[in-house]
Amino acid sequence: MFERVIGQKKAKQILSSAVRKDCLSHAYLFTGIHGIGKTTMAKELAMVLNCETKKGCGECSSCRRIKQEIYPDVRIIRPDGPTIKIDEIRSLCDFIAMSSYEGRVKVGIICRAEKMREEAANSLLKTLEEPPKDSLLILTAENQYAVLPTIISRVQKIDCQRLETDEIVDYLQKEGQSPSDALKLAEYSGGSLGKALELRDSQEMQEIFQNVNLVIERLNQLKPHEIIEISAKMGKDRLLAFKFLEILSDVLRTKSFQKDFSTVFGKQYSVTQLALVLEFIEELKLYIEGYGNAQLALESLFIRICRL
Amino acid sequence: MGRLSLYRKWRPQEFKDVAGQEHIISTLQNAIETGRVAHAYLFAGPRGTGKTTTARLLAKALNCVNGPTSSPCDECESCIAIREGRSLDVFEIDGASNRGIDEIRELRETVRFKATQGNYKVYIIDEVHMLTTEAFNALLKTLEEPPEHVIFVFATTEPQKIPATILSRCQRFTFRRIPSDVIVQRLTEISEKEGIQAEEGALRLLAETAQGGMRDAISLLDQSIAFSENIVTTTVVQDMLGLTDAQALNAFYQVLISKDLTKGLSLIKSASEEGKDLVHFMESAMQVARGLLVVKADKDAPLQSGEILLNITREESMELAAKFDSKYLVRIIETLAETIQKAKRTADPELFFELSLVKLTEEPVGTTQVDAAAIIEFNKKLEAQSKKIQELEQKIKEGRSLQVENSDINLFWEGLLQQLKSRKDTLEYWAFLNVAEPVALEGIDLYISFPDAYEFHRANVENPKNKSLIEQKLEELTGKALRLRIDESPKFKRDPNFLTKTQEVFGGKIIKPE
Repeated sequence: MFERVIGQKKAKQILSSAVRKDCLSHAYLFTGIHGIGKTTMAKELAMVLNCETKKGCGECSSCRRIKQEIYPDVRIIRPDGPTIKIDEIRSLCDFIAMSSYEGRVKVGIICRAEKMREEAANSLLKTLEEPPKDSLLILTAENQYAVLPTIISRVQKIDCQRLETDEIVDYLQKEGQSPSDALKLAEYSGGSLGKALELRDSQEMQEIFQNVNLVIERLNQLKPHEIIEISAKMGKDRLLAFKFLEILSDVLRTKSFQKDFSTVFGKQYSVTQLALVLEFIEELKLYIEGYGNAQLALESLFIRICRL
Repeated sequence: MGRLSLYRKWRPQEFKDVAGQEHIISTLQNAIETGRVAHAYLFAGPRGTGKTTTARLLAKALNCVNGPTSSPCDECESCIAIREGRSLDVFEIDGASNRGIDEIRELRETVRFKATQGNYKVYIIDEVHMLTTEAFNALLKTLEEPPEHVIFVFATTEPQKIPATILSRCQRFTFRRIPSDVIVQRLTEISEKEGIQAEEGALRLLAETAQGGMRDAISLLDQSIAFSENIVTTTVVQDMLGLTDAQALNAFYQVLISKDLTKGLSLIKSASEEGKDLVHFMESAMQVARGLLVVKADKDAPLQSGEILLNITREESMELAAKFDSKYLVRIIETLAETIQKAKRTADPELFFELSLVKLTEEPVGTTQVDAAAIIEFNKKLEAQSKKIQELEQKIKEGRSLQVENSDINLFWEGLLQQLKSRKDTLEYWAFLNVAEPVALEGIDLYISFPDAYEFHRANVENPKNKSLIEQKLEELTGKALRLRIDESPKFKRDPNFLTKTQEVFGGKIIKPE
């Protein structure tokens, strides 16, 4: 059971023991940062429940179709744009209400449940509390505090952890990455396999990666116009800027919280100073999420760093 | 999967099983006994406190074969139908999904018809706060004077979202958070009936985590049964919930004493890796600080939750409290409270916890050692400066003409302002000039500039009438004709490296070199 999920020992233990004792709840909430296997785990659980061998073999027709998300009795809902809307939740509730087509258990999976609009979340409540027999709802959320308390109270919450560096390195090496590359990717991923893979595969992420490196290594020695250029490049769209800040913050943390003083941005800074920078980065992330001007945000960050 | 969740299985089927809401249950029972049942109720209260349950029980009580009765039999056809959710006379409506005016109109149509089996038709609208304004308004007339056989029960967690016109037509009952003791009692009862062994400490932890919601508590119990081998122990519960244990909290406070940031950061890292809920960690740490503060103030205070968390005796906590001064404890509480707020907004409590630790371990501002020699040096300079000012003032008073070097321009200006301020007839000019900065004095031209924020002052001084008056006064004071030049540079000297410097800042290339 759950062999294909990396790490997450505790979550696996809770779920597999519940499956073994046949005391699964009718609703779960998996929480944890992006890219650590929440949705994978939800799909694996759906496989275990509908597998022909009852083990979640990953080989039989049911398992394979669940993996490809074409199984008729498992439905996955993801945010459409920035939110999940009420119509989607309504149709999910209808889906759950009907008896299953071929599987043993109907499974509804809602990814990033904190993105449900208020009406959507509320319209889920009754189904979430008392779904029909032989059905299971799995919600995943990156920020559990953004999920309505009335939802939390109806589900069993299972926390998923950041992955260990070794776990990510192992996985990447199995995929054919050289050990040194794998290590670097793992270190920059902040414990998220999803992010490590993105760093490896997406052109955009590699560009971000290079710019973060540049900033970390010698921001103070850059000419003003070069700083403006970086801000323009990384701030051209909001999502890009957000990812840039995320990675910058991750790298900064691993670098600065190891020792008393660290040389970053081409100068020595004390931990207290870097803490200020990190805090400012978090503020900017919220600002960008709230539709702020991304380029402006990056410029103000760089200026503040240079002035420290 | 055939198994029912514990909280559904143990949903109270009789009034006496509804825990912690005695004030509501007895009122309702009395109303039923005396035949004074209202036609509309609003049940408001936090999640998991028994609103839907009570609504269903009320329906049962009214429609029981023996009914209306304050103790429904739970055996007759009607009671069983309601329990199984298939009664024709009880409509349980999800207000959040059926929130529009059309759904409410449909509902109004059915209201007219009599009940099929029982005495009453009961409409339970759950999550009623999600109805739209139009839907609410469509309901008003029916709600005010419904047919005799109809009872409305609204249940919501957010009564403040319900229009006043609806509120005034309902009897409102406010459900309270259920006290931990009551929850523990209920959990014990359930686990006994389920044949599960559970430690009392474990149940207490579950109850406290549930924060007054019975459903949360039972759901957690369910989860911990699945998680544990045979007995639900305190350790299992702590582990499952990621709760912080006394050991970690003690370590955290040792870090605060020693101000050892490195150790603290590794403590946070390992807590996070063990799957601890860091927000809970911070909340517990805050409780401890509060406890220590109380113990410091009153050594005979009742047992503090902070002490329970740390698992220490009063003597030990006194000892620990003595190591912190009260101000620092307050700072701990403030910093953590702020951090918890921030951590909840983003998905990453770890970072914020680390940041707050940095703040808590750094030396507070003001206690840093200042070099005594530096102070003496500074004082000397200060004295020299004030001597110069006095000299200049003296000169101005004597009306001697001035030969001011540019390096002394600040002093000259300072002296001038002093003079302006000391004389009644020039005080108003002082008010304007006070904000200006001297730039240079060349010949009879006194260059001054105003910061952007003082547009009003500049305009007043620039006004030709004022300007000539000011120049007149200045002449009186200094004995020298002065011309005020505002926001002009003295001779514009071109920096020979101007071009390259500009390029450095703005980039680009020089197309036509000089």
